[in-house]
Amino acid sequence: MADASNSVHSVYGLLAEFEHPEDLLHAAEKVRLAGYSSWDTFTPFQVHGLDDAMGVRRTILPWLVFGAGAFGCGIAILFQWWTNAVDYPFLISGKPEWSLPANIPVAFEVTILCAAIVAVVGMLWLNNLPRLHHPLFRSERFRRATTDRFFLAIEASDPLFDEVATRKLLESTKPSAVECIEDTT
Amino acid sequence: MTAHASSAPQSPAGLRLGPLFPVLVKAGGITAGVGLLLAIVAGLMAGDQLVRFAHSYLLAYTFSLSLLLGAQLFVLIQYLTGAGWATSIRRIPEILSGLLPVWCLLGLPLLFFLGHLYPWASPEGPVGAHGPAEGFKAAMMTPFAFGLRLILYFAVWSFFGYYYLRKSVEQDKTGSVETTLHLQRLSPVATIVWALSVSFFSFDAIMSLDAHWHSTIFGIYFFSGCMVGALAVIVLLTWFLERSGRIRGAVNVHHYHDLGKLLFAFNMFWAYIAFSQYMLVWYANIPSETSWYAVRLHGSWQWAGLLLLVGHFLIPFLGLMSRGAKRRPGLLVFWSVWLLVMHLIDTWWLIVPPLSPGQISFSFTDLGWTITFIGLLSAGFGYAARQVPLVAERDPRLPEALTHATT
Repeated sequence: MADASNSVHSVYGLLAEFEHPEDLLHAAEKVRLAGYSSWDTFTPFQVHGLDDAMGVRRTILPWLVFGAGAFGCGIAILFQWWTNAVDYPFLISGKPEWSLPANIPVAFEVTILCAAIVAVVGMLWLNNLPRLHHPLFRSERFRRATTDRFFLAIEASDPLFDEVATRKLLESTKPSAVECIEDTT
Repeated sequence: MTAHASSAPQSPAGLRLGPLFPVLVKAGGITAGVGLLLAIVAGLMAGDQLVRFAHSYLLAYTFSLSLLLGAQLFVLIQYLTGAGWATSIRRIPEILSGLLPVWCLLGLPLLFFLGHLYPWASPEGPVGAHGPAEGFKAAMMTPFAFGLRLILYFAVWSFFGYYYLRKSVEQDKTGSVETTLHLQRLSPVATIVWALSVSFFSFDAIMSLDAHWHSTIFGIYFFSGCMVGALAVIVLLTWFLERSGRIRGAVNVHHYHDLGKLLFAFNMFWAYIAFSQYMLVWYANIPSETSWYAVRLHGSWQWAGLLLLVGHFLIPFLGLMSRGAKRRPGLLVFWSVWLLVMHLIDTWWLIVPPLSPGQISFSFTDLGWTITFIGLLSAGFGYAARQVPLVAERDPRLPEALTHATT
């Protein structure tokens, strides 16, 4: 724990550890009702009801994906119209120069391509990923978030955050431990 | 393990149809009676030697049959995949599929109408502009061979329909895990036999209305319609039984959501297959292949084709896409009714156009037989559902279904 002489230590936030998902659910409910906004939970598996307990808003990802799909569909049809009927009209097997049925397979594929790319990239972007490091990884205890412990972390950047009062709130939720996580800036 | 485990609802037991039985059977019986009367009167008054009458019967019969067949596959898939989520509503498709023995008997009148329906059965008959079948088809398309195949399909569907319902009801008493494993082991064979028999049935009963045209994807087209129709009916019956308090506690919003996802997916699948079939024919532009579409897309029939494109695919595609539409039972029921109507129009578009080329045609025999079979479905479901619990109450996978959650 030797401090490097020219690095400043500040508090990243408080981490509470729980042994059971039910305890985490109750704690999340309490933290949400207390009005905090910059906080998150960490569990080794999906805990049903946690989204509601945290008051997580629905993601806007579906709208992004829908928009990308509609864009892909439109651009594919427009492009085929332009290449086949405008820029280089060419008679193919006696069909009209611009034949919608022939364009559907390409439009279908480009729709899916655009929607799928935006679904993956948008998901990463909305989750602030990729990210190489996170202050919580400093905690030895936090490693069990991927095996058998449930965590709740309130960030110091939250306007309601107060090291004493927030710790009190977390302790009132009966965690197995509360830990202060430091941040290096 | 999950958050809900501590508050798991108690296992529903003894859920019965109760007072709904006389309602379903009476309403269904009266509807069927009115429809039958309408069909017979309209059929006799048409003065076409019952040709349209027979086509309307085929239309209403295959429409209702497709719903039961789809329900049967739904049950088989549950066992095939070892799925637990739908166990609490599985009894509904089980009962529907258990009606198949009766529906197979209702299919036998088709054998008396072969000459009215199929050009290969009556070369000089009033329908079938293209004459009798040739070559291999000529050997397959004889009344004897057709009847033999039909009875074979019927035997297979009746057996699986009866057997899966009976075994599952048996389990309500014994609670034996062995029953689930047994039905699970049987399900791959049943699914393969189902796929082949349903595909060949659609070739025989619908595609052979034109003795020359063929499309290898036609069976899949029919199958996709079966699933859209069946899922819509399962949603409707689940909602109806839940709303009337008969299966309370067995269904939650996540079941509707997942049924809605399947309905959405199979409707997209229907459009995909319909377009695949159309595009290959359109692109090759060979007269022997385009003749089938020419009848169905020329003259005022093009409006029926457009209606299917817009009403069967585009509108419900957008309507069912969002999460909310699948999770609000009222909305999901609306789309289910919508898609059932579209599935009926699709079946009508497959069967009726050759009778009236160039001119869109609707008759009171269509309406009469459709009403008859809807009434029979209601009465049949009521009658069959009275004999059994409405939830597979001792299925080992039931707890999984009761705590089912999806996002």
